[in-house]
Amino acid sequence: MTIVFSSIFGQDPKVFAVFLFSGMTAFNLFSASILISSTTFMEHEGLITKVYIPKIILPLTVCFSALLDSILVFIALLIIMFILGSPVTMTLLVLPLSFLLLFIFSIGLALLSALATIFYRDLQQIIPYGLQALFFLSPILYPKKNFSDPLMSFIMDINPISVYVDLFRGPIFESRIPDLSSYTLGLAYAIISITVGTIIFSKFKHLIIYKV
Amino acid sequence: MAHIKIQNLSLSFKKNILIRSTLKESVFRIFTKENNNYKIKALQDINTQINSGEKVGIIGSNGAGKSTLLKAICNIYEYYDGDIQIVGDIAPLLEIGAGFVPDLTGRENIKLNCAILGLKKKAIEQLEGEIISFSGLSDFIDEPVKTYSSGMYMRLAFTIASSISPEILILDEVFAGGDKEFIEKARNRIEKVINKANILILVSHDLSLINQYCTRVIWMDKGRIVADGLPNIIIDRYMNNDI
Repeated sequence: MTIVFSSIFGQDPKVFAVFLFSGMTAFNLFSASILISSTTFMEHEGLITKVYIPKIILPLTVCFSALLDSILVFIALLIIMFILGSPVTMTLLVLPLSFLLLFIFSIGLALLSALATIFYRDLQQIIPYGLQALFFLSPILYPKKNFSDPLMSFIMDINPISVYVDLFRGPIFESRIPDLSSYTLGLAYAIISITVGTIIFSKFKHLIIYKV
Repeated sequence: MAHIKIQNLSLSFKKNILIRSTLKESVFRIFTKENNNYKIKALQDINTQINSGEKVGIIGSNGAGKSTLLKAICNIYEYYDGDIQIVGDIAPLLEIGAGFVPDLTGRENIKLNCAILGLKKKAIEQLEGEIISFSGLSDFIDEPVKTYSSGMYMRLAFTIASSISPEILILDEVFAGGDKEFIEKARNRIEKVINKANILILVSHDLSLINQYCTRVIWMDKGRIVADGLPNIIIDRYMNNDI
């Protein structure tokens, strides 16, 4: 992927690799949380219909394991950066905050995804395509500034994923601390997502047992 | 002391909630105006009190609401009318092996299941060796559970389920599967757990089992309690179908 796209975009593969992976780390944490949560209740049907456990635990475990995965991926990325000779700077120290914000954002949506697939089974098939569309609507494969079209740059601007990609790509790839506006937006999206997610989840959680 | 008090408990399943719907169907339903809003009444007006020291057997034909009642007591159905008060720690044995993960090894499943049943880490470590030796699976305990035969699976599940000793013990058709020798061992073991428990609620179609362990029998039919009293009297009436 790195080699193909770096030649398409006419960039040095070594530089592009770090560019791409820094964005992918962020996106994979998000998409894994949403995708695996969407099937978690069905997979553990035997458990939740036989023993009482707080329902929120299942999507939460999914999110935590996605977080762990993405931290491991990030460590692999660090090793690749050393090998490729990219600059590794102190700006990486702000990354835990980026992970935290994205993690909170993902939990909220993962709760909704877990709940929604209980009520509408066919969402399980739709969610992967939605995530793929989101992937291409986010500046992961290409930098934001490639777009001059106002509609596209508007989409990139309001897309929460692009904010989080910036929070990851800034420290990792560009060796800079992300702007305060990115942090503010990231925090706002995270709070909205987790609030809406938990409110809706707690409103409908008692119906889960009847629907699995 | 432990006790359970159930007042005016009713539980019904709405048909439109029970259906596994899809987005596609929901869109179509707007146009077809199908109306399937009827309810299935699983439990109706259950009033009963189970006091400390009582061993209660629940009998009734299939679909009488026995398991639904147990699930309501175990808080699995969180959505009902009426009131259930429970004092004492409760551990359901609703269906043994419910929380097994096929890819994990026997040992890992022991830890996971004990944790689900509410045991602390220290207690699990103490129990682990005993569970392995009783189930007789020490040669296979580090193999994934999916490689077990169904008998081995059942042995492990039963041993885990019966190694906890809660104040309120709930059993739903526990003796099924396993070879003759193991069933013999299992009976002795479950007797110990039953004797330790403060309250026992046992659902079974095996009337001799109920007669043996219970001091009180509740007969349920179509979601209602139809009779409640001493085991031999209620079982006699149940055999003669005398409501």
